[in-house]
Amino acid sequence: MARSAFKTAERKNGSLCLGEETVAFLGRKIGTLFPYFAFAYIVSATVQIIIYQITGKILIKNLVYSVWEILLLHQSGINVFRWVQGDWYISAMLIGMLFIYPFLRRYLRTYSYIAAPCVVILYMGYFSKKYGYLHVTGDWNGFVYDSLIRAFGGMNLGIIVYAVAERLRNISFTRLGRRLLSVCACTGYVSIFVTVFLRSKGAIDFIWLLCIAGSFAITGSGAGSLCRRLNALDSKSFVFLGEYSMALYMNHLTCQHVVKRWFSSWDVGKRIALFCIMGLVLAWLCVFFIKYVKIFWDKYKWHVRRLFLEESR
Amino acid sequence: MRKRNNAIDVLKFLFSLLILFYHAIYVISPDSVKIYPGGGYWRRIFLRGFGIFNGSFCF
Repeated sequence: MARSAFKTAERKNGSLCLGEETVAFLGRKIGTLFPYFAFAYIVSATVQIIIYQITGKILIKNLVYSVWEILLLHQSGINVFRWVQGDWYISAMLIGMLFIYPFLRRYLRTYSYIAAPCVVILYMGYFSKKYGYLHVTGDWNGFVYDSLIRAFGGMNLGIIVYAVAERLRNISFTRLGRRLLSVCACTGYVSIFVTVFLRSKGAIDFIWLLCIAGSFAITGSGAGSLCRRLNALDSKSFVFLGEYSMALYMNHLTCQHVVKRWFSSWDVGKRIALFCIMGLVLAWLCVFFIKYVKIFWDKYKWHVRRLFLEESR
Repeated sequence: MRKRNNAIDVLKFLFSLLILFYHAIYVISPDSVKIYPGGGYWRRIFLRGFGIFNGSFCF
């Protein structure tokens, strides 16, 4: 999201109408994310209603109070009933982007080079002092959720990373240099997943965050030889991977209710395998459901519009 | 127009798979580390790694 905000802010020029542009940007983001959320919401609510036999007043109450979840506002702190577990990040990022985008759009370089680093430094200092680690998902600090601050800090870090990636993109590297960049990026990703876990959680989190930021700057620049090889391939199947990852993130936690409730007697290895398979299949169904709904909507949207709206003259 | 960066899509996919596996271990059966020899190590692997990155790479 930080990447697309940076790119949009960089691309646009001319007269500014920040309010409308910000709303339009968020509208596009919500338009991209919401189908995945809607699918996850419908499936998760249905599964939980069946499995836990939620009926009557409780069902109505849960559905009514989930309206803030549907509006993707639960990270604001409003009391909400949540059917989908993984959506807090979307809510936090959308709320954060409401503040970031106008400033990024109006003061792209100043924000990227001064404001974003300041925010990231303060965010890391705050988490380091208060928690000593980064894995915070819902603590209320009396004003906002700390997870909202975490997402806000994360997006600002993303903006810095993308600014660095833009700088790297404009540098001409030799073949050896490109290979070295690829090795650095891959080493960063691999070493994080190997070494990050050797110690208990703590201050080392922030070093790992720096590693992932560096690796991602190289990947985002496309300057490494591995990136260049990947980018030379047809994008179609990679676009599917990107869409599938979103579907998988939004939907896989729904499967926990099924596995925990109906397969609790299975041994742990089978439960894990079942959860993974169900998650992968559900995500696949989600991608194809959204694809065909979009095709249907593109075909019939004018018919639907004509039912409610007069044609403009 | 700038070409799409396929490497980012690959990264998104890998991170989403890793999050799936993390939740399989952590949410479905927190005691599942017992199936691994020296399970504490693996438990820390999944808890810490995914705790940091969470879902931010998936979209």
